[in-house]
Amino acid sequence: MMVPQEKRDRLAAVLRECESVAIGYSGGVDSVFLARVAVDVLGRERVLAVTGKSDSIASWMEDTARQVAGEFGIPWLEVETREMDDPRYAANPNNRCYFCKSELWGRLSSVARERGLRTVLDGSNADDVGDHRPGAVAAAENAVRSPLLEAGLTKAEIRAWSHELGLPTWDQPAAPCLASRLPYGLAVTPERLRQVERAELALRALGFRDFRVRHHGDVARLEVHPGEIGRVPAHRAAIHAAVRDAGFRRVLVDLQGYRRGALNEGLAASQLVQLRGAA
Amino acid sequence: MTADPRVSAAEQALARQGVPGASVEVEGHEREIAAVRVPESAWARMMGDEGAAIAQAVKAAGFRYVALDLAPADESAAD
Repeated sequence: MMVPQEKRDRLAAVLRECESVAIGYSGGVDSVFLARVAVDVLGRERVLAVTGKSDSIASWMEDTARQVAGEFGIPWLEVETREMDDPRYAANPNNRCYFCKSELWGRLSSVARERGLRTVLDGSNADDVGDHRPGAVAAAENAVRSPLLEAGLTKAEIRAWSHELGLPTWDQPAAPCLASRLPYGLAVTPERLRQVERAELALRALGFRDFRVRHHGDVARLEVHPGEIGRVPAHRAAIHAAVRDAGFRRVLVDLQGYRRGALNEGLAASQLVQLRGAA
Repeated sequence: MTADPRVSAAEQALARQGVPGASVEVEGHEREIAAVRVPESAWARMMGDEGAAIAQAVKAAGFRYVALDLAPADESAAD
C-alpha cells in the first residue's frame, strides 16, 4: 500500500505546529509510529514518549514500548498511573475510559509542563472515528492533539508506513488495555486483570495472535479472529487447561470470533461516545 | 427456580441448524451468554463461517453471545 504524499506532508506539518511534544506511548502500532515520525520531524530533544504503567496494561506491551524506544532512539519515560484507585473507574461504567484517560492525560500534561514540552499527543487515527471512545472527552479536556487523525491516516496506512520505517510493530495486532476485556458493570480489579493477562499469555504461547479473553466473572469467553478460529479444535485441551489455570471455572469460545468492540454490543446508541473526525 | 425459556428456544434453533443433541446453559453476570455443548462429531463445523451463522440463529433466542464450551465431553460444567 502506498501512503499518499499529501498525508505524509500533513503529518509533518501538524507535528511542526506542535513544536515540542509529549506522546502517550503505549507500545502499540499507532503510538510507536507517531513517536518515531515525531523524532524524525522535530528531533529527539523535542520529543518525549511517555508510557503509563498500571495493572491495566499488559506487561508485553510495556516491554515492547521500552524495547522499541531503545532501538529507535526515542526518548522514553514511564510514569505510574493510578486509575485503579478511582472508584468511578473501578466500578467499570460504560464511560470507564474517560476516568482512565483523565488520569493519563493529566499526568502527561504535568510531565509536559515540567519539561517545557508544548503539546501532548495521542495516537488516534482516521479509522477510530465513530468508535465508542469516552476517553476522547478526557483528551479534549486536556487539549491533547491527534496528529494521525488530523493527517487522515488510516490504520492500514500507518502499518504500511511503519513497515517502511522498519518498526517491528507494523503488523502487531491491536492491543487495547486489559480492562477492555471486562463487560461494563463488572468491577475492574487487579486480580481480574491478572487473570486475563495470564490466559492471554497462554494463548500467545500456543501461537494465537489476534484474540481476546473476555472476563465474565468466573467464565472466560474467548474471541479468536476468524482467520485463526479454525486452529482452536487442535489446541482445545491445552487452551482449556491453561485458561482454567488462570482462574476461570468455565472456558467458552465465541462462535462469531473476535470483533472489535464486542463488549459495546450491549450499549444503546445514546450511551455511545463517538470519536469525531478532524475538522 | 423457573427454567429460562431461552434455553429451549436456543436448543431448538441448534437442532434446526442441523446440530441435534446440543445443550445450552446460561452464563455471564448479566445472563447474556448461551454456553453451548455439542456432540464431538459436530465440533469441527462449529469453528468458522458455519458456526458464526449458527450463532446468529441462537442469538435470536435472546442471547448477546453464543459460545462453545471447551470442556471435554465427560466433564460437567459445574466441576
